[in-house]
Amino acid sequence: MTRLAKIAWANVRRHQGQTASLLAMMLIAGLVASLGLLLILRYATEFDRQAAAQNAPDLSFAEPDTLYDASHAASARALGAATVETEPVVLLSGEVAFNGADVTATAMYSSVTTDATMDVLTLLDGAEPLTDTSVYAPHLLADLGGYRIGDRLTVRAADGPVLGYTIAGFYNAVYFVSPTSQWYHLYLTAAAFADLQAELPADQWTLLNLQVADGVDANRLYLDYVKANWVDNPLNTGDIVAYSTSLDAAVGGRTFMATIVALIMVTFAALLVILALFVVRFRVRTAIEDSTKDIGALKAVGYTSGQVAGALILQYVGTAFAGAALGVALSYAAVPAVAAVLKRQSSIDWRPGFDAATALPTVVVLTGAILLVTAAAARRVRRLSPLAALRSGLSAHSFRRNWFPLDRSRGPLAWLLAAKQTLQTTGQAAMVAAITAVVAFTSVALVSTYHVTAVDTDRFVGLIAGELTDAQVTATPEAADAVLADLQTRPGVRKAFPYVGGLAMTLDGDWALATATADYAQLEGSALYDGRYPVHANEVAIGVVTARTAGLGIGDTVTLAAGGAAAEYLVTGLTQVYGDGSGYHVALTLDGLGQLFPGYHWTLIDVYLDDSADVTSFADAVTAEYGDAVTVTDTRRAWQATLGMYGDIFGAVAVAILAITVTVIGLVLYMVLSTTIRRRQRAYGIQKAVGFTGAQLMRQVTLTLLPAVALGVAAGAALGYLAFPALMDALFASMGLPSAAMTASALFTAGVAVLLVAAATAIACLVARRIRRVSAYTLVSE
Amino acid sequence: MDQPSLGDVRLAGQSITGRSESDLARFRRRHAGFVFQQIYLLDNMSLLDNALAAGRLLTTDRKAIAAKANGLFDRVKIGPDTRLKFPAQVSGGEAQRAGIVRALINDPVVLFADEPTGALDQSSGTAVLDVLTEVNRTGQSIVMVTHDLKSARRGNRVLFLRDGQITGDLALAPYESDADQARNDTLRSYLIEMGW
Repeated sequence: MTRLAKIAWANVRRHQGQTASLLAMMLIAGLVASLGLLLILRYATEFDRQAAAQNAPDLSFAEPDTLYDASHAASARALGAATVETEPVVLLSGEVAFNGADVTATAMYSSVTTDATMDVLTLLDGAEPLTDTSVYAPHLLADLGGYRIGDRLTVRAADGPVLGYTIAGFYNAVYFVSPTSQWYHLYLTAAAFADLQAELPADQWTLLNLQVADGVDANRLYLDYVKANWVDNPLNTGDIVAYSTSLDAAVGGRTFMATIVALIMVTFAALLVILALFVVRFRVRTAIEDSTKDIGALKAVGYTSGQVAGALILQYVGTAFAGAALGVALSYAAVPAVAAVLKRQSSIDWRPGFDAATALPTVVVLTGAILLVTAAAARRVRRLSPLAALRSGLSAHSFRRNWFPLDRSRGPLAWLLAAKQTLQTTGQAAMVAAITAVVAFTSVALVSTYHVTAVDTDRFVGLIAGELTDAQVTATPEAADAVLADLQTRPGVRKAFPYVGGLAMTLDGDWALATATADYAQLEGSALYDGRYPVHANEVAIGVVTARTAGLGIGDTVTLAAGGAAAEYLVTGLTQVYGDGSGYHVALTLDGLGQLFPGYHWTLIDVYLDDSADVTSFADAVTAEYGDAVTVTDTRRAWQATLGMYGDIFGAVAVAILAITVTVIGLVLYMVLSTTIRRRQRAYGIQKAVGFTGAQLMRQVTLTLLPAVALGVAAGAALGYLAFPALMDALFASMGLPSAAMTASALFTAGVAVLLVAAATAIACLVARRIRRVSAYTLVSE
Repeated sequence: MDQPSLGDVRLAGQSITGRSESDLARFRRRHAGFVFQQIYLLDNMSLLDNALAAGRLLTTDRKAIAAKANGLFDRVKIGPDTRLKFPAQVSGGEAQRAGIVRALINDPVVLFADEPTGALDQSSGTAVLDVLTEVNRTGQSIVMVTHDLKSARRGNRVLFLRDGQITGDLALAPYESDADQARNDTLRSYLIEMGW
C-alpha cells in the first residue's frame, strides 16, 4: 500500500495542474451538493425547532368578535383539538410602508401580557423595554420591510383610523410572517392594548390557537372547523372576513423557496459529478496511454496489473476524496451567504452546525462515483503486456480518414488543421460538447427564471396575483356604486369593474374560497386553465386542484353553500389560482354570488389605466375626491414589493450557478487542452520547426475545441430555451398552478450562449498559451 | 530553432541572432528546410498534407502549391497513392522522402538535414541520400550533420566538428557515385587525419 501510495503521489506531483483541476471540480460538486442536502434536510427542521421552542400551535384562527363566540373553542375541541387557547386582539387592515412601497397589510395587535402558552414571544437581541407608545414587531419587518428599532410603524386603515407605534424590538415569529400575505402580529403593553380596544371597539377580534390531539389530522380539522364555524355559520352573509393559518402552511410557505433552491443545487451537483466522471474517464485513459512505458517498466520489475491500476485509482480517488471533503467543509462557510439570500423569502435565521448525516453521504457518493469510473477505465492496464508497454504499444494511431485534405480544402490553414484534429478525436469533442451543453442548459434555465421573476415580471406576478391590475380601489359599501360609475368614465382609466375576492363557502361539502365579477371577459390575467369563465348566474369555474381532488370536471354540477343558503351550479371552466385556498377556488358571476348572499355588495374595484396614465397621479386624484371613502393601491408596485425577493433569490442563484458553470467550463477546457497539448507536444514542435509561429499554433489549438464548445452551448441553450416552459410548469404545478405558460427570453438565452462561448474562448486562449513552452529545438536535441 | 550562446548567426544575408521566437519561425518557413533523423512527420495527416501544411504557410494559392508538392513527390519517387497515406502506413524511407518534400516545399535557401538516414535501413537510407544528392545537383544547398561515412561521402564540402569547434574543412568534387575510389580515399584520409 505504501508503495502504491508513493506511485500515486508521484503521479499527483507530476500532473499538478490536472490534479488541481479535478480537485477544484470535486470541491465545487461537494460544496454545492452539501449545501443542497443541508437545505433539503435541515432548513425545514430549523423551522420545526423554532416552532417547538415557541410551542407553536398547529392551527391558528383570527375571527371578528361579531363572528366568534365561545362555541367555536368547544367546536375545535370536539373536532380533535387537544389544547385550545384564545386571546383578544385588535385587527386592522390598511396600508403600511414596506420595502419602499405602500402595501396592503393586516396588523394584529395584542397585549404582551398574556396567559397564553402557545406561540411564546421570543425577542431578538437588541429589543428595548416596551412602553405604551411602542410595539414589538415580527422580524420580517426588519429583514424585508426596511424597519429598524426606533422606527415608526404606521398602519393607515381604509376606513379612517391611523395607528402609529415606535418599534421597540423584533421577535422571532413562526406565524404571520410571510411577505406575500403581509400579516404582522404586533405586541403592545397591557395598558396600550386596553386603550386601543377602547379606541377601536369595532375592530376587536379573537385569536384562537390550537394544538391537535395525537392521531388527529390537522388539515382535516382545519377544513372541518372553517366549514362548521365560518361557512355554515348563519351569520355568514358574504361579508365575513376571518383568517386562518396552519403550521403546515407556514412551514410550506416559508421553506418552499429554500426547497426549490436546494433542488436546483442538488441537481446541479449531480450534473457536476457526471461531468467529473466524463473528465476522469478521459484523464485515466489518456494517463494510461501517456504512461505506457512507465507501466511497462513497473510490470517488468514485478508489479502486478492490480498494483499499477491501484496506484492510478488511488491517485484519482484520493484527489476526489480531498476535493469532496474540502467542498463539504467550505459549504459551511457558504451557509451564511445562502441563508441571507433565502431569509428574504423565509424570514428564517438559519445557522446549521456540522451535520454528519449530509456530509458523509456527500463525500462517500462523490468519491464512490469516481472510484467506479476510475476502476473501470483502469482495466486497460491489464491488457498491456510489459513488452508491448515498453514499446509504447498503445501509442500507434489508426486514423481512418484524412479529413479536409489540404490540396482540396479552402480556408485558413489554422482552421483546417484544427478541423482535422477535431474530427480525428471525435470522442473528446463529443465529451466537450456534452459538458458544455449541460452547463449551457442549466445556465439558460436559471437565467430565464431570473428573467421572469426579476426583469419581465408581469407573467410571474400575474400567476401569483391571479389578475394584475394597475390599481385597486376599495370603497365603502355606501360609496361603491358612485365611485365605480365615476371611474368608468374618468379620463386615463381604460376600464374599471367590481371584483370580489375571498368569500368562504363550501363546494359539494368541502371548503372553498370564492371570487366573483360581473363580466369575466374584462379580465386580462391568465387564471383560466381550461374551458371558460361563468357567464350566467348558474355557472362557475372551479380551481383545478379542487376539481382533481373532488373528481370534478367541466360539465359537472356542483352545490355551493354558505350561511345556510345553497344552490347548484354548472362547471364551465377550470381555474388556477395561487393563494390561501391552495387551489380550492370557485369563480362565480355577481348574480351567481347573489343566490347565496342576497344582501352582499362588493367594495373592491379593479382599475386598468391607459398606458400613458400614471398610477400615483390617479391615486392622488381619487383619494383627494373621495377622502376616507376609498383606499387606492398601486397594485404592481405592491406586488413588486412583496414578490421582489423571488427575483433577488433567483438572481443570486443564477449568478452563482453561472459563475460555477464558467469555472467548470474553464476546468474542463484546461484538462482537455492541457492533455491535448502534452500529448501533441511533438507535433506542435514539428510545426514550429517548419515555420508555424506560437500564435498560429495557439489559434489552431483553440479552434480544435471551440466548434465542440459552440455546438454544445448552442444545443444546450436551445434545449434550455425550449424546455423552460415545461420546467416552469413543473415548478408552478407544485404551487397549484399547473400551467405557468412562461417562455424564456430569447435575448437572455442568446446572451448566456454568447457569454459562455466568449468565456470558453478566453479560457482556451489562456490555456493554449502553454504551447509557447513547446520548443522546436527539442526535436533536434533529443 | 535555438539561440547562439556566443557570436552571431547569419543566413541569407540576415542576422538571426536575438530574434523573437515568432520572427525565427517566419524566417524558418521562408529560408530553411529541415530533415530530421526521427523524420517527424505529423502523424494525423497524409504525406501530401504534411508537405502542404508547410507550403500553405507561405501562399494562399492552394492549387499551385499542391501542384508543386505533387511534382516534388514525383521527384522523390513517391506515387500518388502513397502520398495520400498516413506516416504510420508507409515505410521509414518513404516517410523520410516525404520529409524531404516538406523541407523543399518553400524553396529554402538551405536544407538542413540532421542524420537523415539514422533511423533507416541500408536500402532506404541509400534511396534518401540519392534524393538529397539529386536535389543538390539542381542547385539546392544542403547542410547535413552525420556520423555516417556513406552520408558524408555525398558532400562537396566536409566540415569536421569536435566539441563544438570546426577542426577541419575539406572541399570535394561533386558526388557522382560511390564507385569514385579517389574521392572516397581523399575523404577517408581526411577523416582519419581528423581522428574520426
